[in-house]
Amino acid sequence: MAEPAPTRCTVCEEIRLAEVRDARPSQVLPIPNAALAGFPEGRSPHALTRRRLFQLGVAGFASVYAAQQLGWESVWESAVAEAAGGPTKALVVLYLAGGQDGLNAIVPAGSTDYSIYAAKRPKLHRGQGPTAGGVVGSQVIPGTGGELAFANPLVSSTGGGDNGDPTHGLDVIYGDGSGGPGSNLAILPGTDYTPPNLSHFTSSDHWFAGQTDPVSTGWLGRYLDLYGSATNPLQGISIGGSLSKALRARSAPVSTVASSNFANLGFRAGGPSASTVKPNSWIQQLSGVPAGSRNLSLARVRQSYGLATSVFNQLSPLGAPTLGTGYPSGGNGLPGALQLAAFLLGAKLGTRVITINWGSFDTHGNQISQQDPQLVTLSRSLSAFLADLKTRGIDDRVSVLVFSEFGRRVAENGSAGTDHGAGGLMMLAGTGVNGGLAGQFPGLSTLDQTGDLLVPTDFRSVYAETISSWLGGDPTQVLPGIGAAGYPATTVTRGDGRSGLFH
Amino acid sequence: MLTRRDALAEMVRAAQRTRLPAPRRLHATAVKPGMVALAWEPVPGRKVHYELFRNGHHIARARHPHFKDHRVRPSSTYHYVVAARSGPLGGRRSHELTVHTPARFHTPPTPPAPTSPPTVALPNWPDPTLTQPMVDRLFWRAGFGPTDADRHEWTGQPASALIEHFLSTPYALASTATPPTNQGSPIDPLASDQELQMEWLDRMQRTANPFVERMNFFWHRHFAVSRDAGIPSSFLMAYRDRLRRYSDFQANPTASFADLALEMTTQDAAMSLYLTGNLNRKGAPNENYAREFMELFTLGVTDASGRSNYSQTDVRELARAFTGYGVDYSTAQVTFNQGNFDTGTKSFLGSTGSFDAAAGVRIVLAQPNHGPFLINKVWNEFIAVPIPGDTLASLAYQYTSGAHQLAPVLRNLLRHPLMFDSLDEPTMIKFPVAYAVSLLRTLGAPLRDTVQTNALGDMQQQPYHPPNVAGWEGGQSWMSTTTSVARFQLVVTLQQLLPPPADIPAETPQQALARAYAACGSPWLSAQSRSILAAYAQQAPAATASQRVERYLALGELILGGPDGQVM
Repeated sequence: MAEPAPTRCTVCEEIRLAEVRDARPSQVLPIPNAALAGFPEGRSPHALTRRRLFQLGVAGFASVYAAQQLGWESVWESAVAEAAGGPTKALVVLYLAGGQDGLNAIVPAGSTDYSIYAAKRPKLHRGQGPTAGGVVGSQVIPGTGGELAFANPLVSSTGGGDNGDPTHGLDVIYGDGSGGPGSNLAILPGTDYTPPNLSHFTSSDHWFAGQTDPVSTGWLGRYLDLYGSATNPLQGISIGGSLSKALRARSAPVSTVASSNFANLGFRAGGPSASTVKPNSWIQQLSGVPAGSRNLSLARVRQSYGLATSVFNQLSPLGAPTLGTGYPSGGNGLPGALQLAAFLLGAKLGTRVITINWGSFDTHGNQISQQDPQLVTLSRSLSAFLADLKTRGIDDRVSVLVFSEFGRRVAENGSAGTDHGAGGLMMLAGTGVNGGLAGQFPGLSTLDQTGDLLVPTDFRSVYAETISSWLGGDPTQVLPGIGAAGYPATTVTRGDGRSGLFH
Repeated sequence: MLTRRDALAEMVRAAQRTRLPAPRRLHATAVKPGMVALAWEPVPGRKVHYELFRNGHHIARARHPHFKDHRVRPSSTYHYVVAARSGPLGGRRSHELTVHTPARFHTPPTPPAPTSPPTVALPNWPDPTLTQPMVDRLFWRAGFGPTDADRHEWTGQPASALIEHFLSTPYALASTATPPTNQGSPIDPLASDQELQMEWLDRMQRTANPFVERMNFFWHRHFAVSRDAGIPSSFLMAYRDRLRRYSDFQANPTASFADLALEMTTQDAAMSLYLTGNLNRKGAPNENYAREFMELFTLGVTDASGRSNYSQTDVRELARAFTGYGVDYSTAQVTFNQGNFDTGTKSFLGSTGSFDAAAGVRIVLAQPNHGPFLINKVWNEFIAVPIPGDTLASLAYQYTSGAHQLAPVLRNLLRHPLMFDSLDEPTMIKFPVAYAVSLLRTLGAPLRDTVQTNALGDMQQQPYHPPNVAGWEGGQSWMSTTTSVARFQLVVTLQQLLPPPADIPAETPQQALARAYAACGSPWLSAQSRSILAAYAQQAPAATASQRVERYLALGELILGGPDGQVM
């Protein structure tokens, strides 16, 4: 068959977009192929105005053009205007780096499972009940039919555990596990994907991407591309200096915030009379210089500089943040990151997603001494965070999602540690969360061929329900294939017989 | 009340309900060096045709559910998507299909027998005469930026001569009148974390042959270990010195990756502690090192076609071959204890035998993907454009057929024409250590206390503190709203460590810009950026001495610390 020569089609907007890209060396980011999927189709930057954007309905693919066309000043002004809109729900995503050992956090408690667990972990197993004789204990979790227990470092001291805090712990936010008032923690043991990949980097990429095929964007970045703002970099924030891979977007502006000292977020000149120099405005101009169409690196540099001025312009008027109390001290950054997150969410900046990467859970050797202090910090911080949100009156619009890139082998290794395994522990916390045993526990009687937990819950189903029932949106647009034959379901089958991850 | 967001979401859903479904099962029926044939399942409907996209560009319309693309090049990667269309009604996109076209020459599917002539040509690309932008490019990519003396010496010389200079200049450090100090005293690298980092940064600042330190730091990013794991500083210095022996090709012209990989596996105490090789014993195997050895150091998880390079069984069995090693803290040495070594038969990567660590390393390096894996990694360190398939094949062939020696491959790689791609607008983001060291070298600023190490932390790259065993991700991930500000502020901080600049009362704005630009080492600056800086110089108040000094300093900050200063 004779194939037609490549022609330009006047009816499809994709092609117009391609033409525009070819014709305009000033464009900052090329639209990857996948960016053209879904609705709406790409739009010409020529047609772009803020009003037009809202008419189109989805801010999507235009922010970078917007920066070029409108200048950074207008970008942050519109970001401020947009942020002042109505309250929206927000998600804090906490990544426990290194592959957290879920089995020593949420411990098997049924008699069959416990004996298998204790036999496979002669050095590492938890005791049942209070910590005694050098063996860290565990407390049975209500509503799990006696099948699961919190390891004591997760439990408040008044709850019988040993996290050292009488008022904060996972037991406190879990409540009775009924999903009613005060039951604000959902646990999902054995959450992963199959077949599992035991590489830290491949596996964490899957979790960040929300899919197991290579892709350059993260699931939260794609969500913001579709449902977020074209102008507000504070809609997606990574606490710290590096942007989470989960927040990588095609075009939606996102940011990192490393410090609660907002006055220091901007570009500050030195010199003897610094008051006369306004580096932010000159950096804005320099960052607006268009890069060559193929020069993604320079485009990225200039965009980052420009967005940094926008972040500064939005945050510096807030002055010194008032941080919540009740968090543990130290904790290697987690308490401070959550404190800052609570403040930012309460400041009504239009923030939809905040990511925090924390911890070092790759416990190949001497696991107890590495994992347990981090479990203490985690339980106290998470519980204090929910209380902080409540004090700020925003607990009904913020949920927290906790995950790690995989779980660990059921059997301990020869170094009082555990090697990489499948079936990690995922958790959701918040007033809007339907607490309880939200995922099925696979048990230890049947393991996969490597000796890892089976995986009853696919993490993408949790993401899908978080999008559809919490953040708002169509998960099939964010998570490729979700719900289709051969792909994970769009909802999670709970382990406690109820339904829904959120109220 | 219907919110705006609800209304928008409803619009989206309504539009989606009416769209044609995505074509399913897009796949390649034939892939040749100059042709890709595609097919997919037809989408039912009236007058349906299909729009084809390659790498985001519309390339054709097809009436039938198949298509041959003749406009492809050998050794290239293409991404195809197809969407159905019926009149004005657009359809949803298919999944993206990635196709790699083979090289024009024939590559046999199995490695050639030793006696057969090589099917891959040894690399042989031109040896251009260096222009000044080319000199700048090589000193940036293989060092820490050019000086005017470098430009003067090498402009007009053949590229091969400068590369030979990098590969054969003895390692030496220039003397300094302002050695690093910590709280007023000379630094002791074993005394504190920042002093350990300063010791290395000082070498980078003063090295006569910048390539040695660049390569040394590359190996740190490749065989990453972190002090955060509690490894003693003396172990880390020994590790760094070991890596330098594989970076200084004047002293070690035949240095090979095979030797380096074996040393990291059996002799390096820092690595042994970091990846718990010291805990890997007979009967109690610890998979940590074996897995990362294959995944990160030698093979990668998958090859170019997506096939796994090793299995979980290979990891477990290789770990057994690596048993028997421990760390003696008193001597900082890796020791071998025969009683902890698993003498049994191991089977991995298609070989079976009672292998020890040396055999394990040898077998892994003989895997077909080792050459392409390592060459690709080294290429990406120096060159921003992805490596072409035929270049990869020929460099990998030179490397594996040359006993895994490093210098011969680097000699060719560094003068590949793509090294000089996009000279008028650099395309690689400076990694923070290179950026910081280049500022130290350009401005002549001293290393003081925690000034530089804190800045490197803010920029997300402290030596000896990679985020994990994969090292730093690099590339575009360097840039965030936080790191942008940190990069700018480093210039400000370094200016404050230097004597105040001269005030020249009669200086015009243009002269101030020219003087500041020269003091910054005359770096690359886009024409538009230059005119913005000229506008700044024009507008900045200059009535008083302090205003003029400030104008001069601010110009330096915007040149070196602004966006254009971040690419090389």
